[in-house]
Amino acid sequence: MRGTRLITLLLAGCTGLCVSVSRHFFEADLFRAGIQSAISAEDQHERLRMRNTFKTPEEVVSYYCARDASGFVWSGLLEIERKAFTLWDHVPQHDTFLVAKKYDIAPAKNGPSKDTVDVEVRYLLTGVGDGHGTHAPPENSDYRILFRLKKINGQWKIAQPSPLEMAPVVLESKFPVARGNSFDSAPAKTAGRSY
Amino acid sequence: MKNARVLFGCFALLALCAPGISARARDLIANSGTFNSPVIVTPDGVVNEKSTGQELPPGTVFTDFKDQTGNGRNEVSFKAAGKTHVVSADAFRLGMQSAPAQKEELIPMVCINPGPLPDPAAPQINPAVPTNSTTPPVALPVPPSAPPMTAPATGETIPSPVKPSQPGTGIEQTAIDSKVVARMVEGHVVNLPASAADSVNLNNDSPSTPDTQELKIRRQTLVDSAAEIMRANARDAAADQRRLSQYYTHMPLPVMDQSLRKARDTLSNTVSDLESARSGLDPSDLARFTNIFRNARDKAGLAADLIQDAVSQQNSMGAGSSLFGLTSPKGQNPLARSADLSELFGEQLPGEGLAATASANTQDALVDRLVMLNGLPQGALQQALKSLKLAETPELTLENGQKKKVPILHNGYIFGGSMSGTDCSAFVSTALPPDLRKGRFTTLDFTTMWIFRHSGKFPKPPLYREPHQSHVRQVAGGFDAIDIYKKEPLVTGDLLVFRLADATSGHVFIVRDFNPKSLDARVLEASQSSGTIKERNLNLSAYPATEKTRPLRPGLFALRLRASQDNPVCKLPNKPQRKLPKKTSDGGKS
Repeated sequence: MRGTRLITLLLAGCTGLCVSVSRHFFEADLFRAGIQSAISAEDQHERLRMRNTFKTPEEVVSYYCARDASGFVWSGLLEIERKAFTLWDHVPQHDTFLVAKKYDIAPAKNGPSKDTVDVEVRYLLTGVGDGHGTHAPPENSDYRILFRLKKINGQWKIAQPSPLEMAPVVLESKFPVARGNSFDSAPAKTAGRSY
Repeated sequence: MKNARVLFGCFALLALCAPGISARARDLIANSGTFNSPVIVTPDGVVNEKSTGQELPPGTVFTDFKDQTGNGRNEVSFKAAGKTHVVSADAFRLGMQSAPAQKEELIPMVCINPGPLPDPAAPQINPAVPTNSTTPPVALPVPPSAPPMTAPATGETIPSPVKPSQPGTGIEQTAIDSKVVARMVEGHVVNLPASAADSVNLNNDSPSTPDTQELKIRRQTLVDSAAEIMRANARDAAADQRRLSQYYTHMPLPVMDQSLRKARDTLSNTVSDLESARSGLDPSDLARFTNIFRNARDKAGLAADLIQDAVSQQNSMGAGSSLFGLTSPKGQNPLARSADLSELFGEQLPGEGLAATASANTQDALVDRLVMLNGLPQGALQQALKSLKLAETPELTLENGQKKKVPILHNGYIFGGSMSGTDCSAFVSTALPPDLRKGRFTTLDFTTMWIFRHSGKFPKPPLYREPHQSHVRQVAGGFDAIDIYKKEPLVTGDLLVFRLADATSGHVFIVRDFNPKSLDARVLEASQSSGTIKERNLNLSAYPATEKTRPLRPGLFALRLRASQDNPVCKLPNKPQRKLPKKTSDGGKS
């Protein structure tokens, strides 16, 4: 009798535990879904970070590309970001930008030295533009940037390309002024000028 | 001597030469103005506020300024606080701080005759060397539009009485002293005896008619004026930074905590307004400032989180601690109240120190100013807005039809449209810094203008949207397209645009002079901060001078501002009021 009671209590306890755990996950799912449904346009932009707490080089590149995609590199990367995420001595200064439909970040590959890695980002370009909505065709819609990162004091930081070589690349979906007036995304030959 | 060119540094030149310490030459030339910071007058001269002596507080009006250096005395005199002060010119410059610029003053401090360009081989100017000129000074006619000089009452702040002779020309005359004309030399204002300003010697000029000489004078003035506008921008940004930081100096930490949270919330609302705005700002400026405000919102949010640790630390020290609310671990930035906040905002206040003027014009400094402004209570915010130089309050029309005024701080100009009819120096000053080009005319636009003017046809691609296409067409009409690949030489004042096809990087330089034999161009460009001007040599060929054939670099487009009255983009300085000296047969000046 006593044993039965004990088993019953244990079973009840386990059931309760399982229910609460499921509820937690269920609620977590709801929470996430709720968050996602509540995301406004403003939350779709990567927020400013002051410290580089990323563990992997892909995360660093992902942060940079997300900031770039929303036009933060074009409008002006902040010094605090430059120092936290790159080894550059100045921020990129470009008055125009490349426009892309999407981009993909490849897994990191070993670099030329022990503490360096290469991460390639591949863009599908639709044009070259500026803040006024002006568009020119891209030389090639398949555009790739090879980021080389170096590990400094446990942090992965972008070492190359240099800021002079880095063209800002915005996404049409995140940078409204880049929408419209775009050229066909099919592989483009260099369009000659017409008058 | 009649033709003697005696360049002597007046106090204005010295003041402007001292990095970070420069008076508004306009005010000084006009012999009256306002001290912007405490000035100590001592028996040895006016020095900085660390010295002892009679203090003239900020806002003190000085009048009857006289520069005696032209008379062989290294002195300046002025009246202030009811007394006449005679001080050494050298010491005076140490005490002069930047006078508050009038918000509407986008007109450069230029002059009729720029005078000779500095020759590196020439002897340095010695301010103590008296002029030996016996030439009777030529009286400058006072333009009808120049307002009469009136001495203000003591303590009254007066606006600069020197106005351009014509709106948008960028030319000013010193209407107070016909014996002295102001001229720009390498971006500094120098007072010269009128006789010295008669002689003009411009680089790479070719013998020409007086009209062409005058045009060259105008172009040189344009170069110097554009540079001075950009320097003035940097000074204004530094002044705005100081003004806003005053609210946060010695602010108790709990109060700063509330301010940062208020800044975060206010900026968040402003971001929402900017995102839904449909008119009120140029689309490019709207895109740019939306991101700037997002950064400011995020930075305020980060600071609000970080300050919690600082508050906790203070609380652990006890509310009665004498250090409560006043701990400032290091640095002069009033926001750097802890190690974490120093990391976020920087220890040094942007724009402070002799070498830090440029940093007040950076994106980071602008973001910090937005945080500080939006953390203020409403009354203080409105008051602060009135005193800031680089601030606008455009009225935005939101998506729901609501109209809303939004205070926007910036690092340069916010203009709509094409800027046509403006002063050419102001136009050029927005063309050089890459940050300002984003909202005005980009290197893509300039290359389009070049092609349009060169071929007569508007290129397509690129595809333009209205009204920007109309603006580009209109502004293009103000330029002549110079083809350096057809050996057309550059001249002073040309805009040299570098842009490769399909690339996003581009530069705009303004040409100071050009050597067609060596292909060396001395150019001005804006630095990364867009607050400083760099002068550099740019050789148009990447090939060494010893090569027989030296192909020019690709991607270079030269645009020359047309000096005509119907220029649709801007107006070059007025025709000088004096005649240029005739050259004698031996090449000297008569």
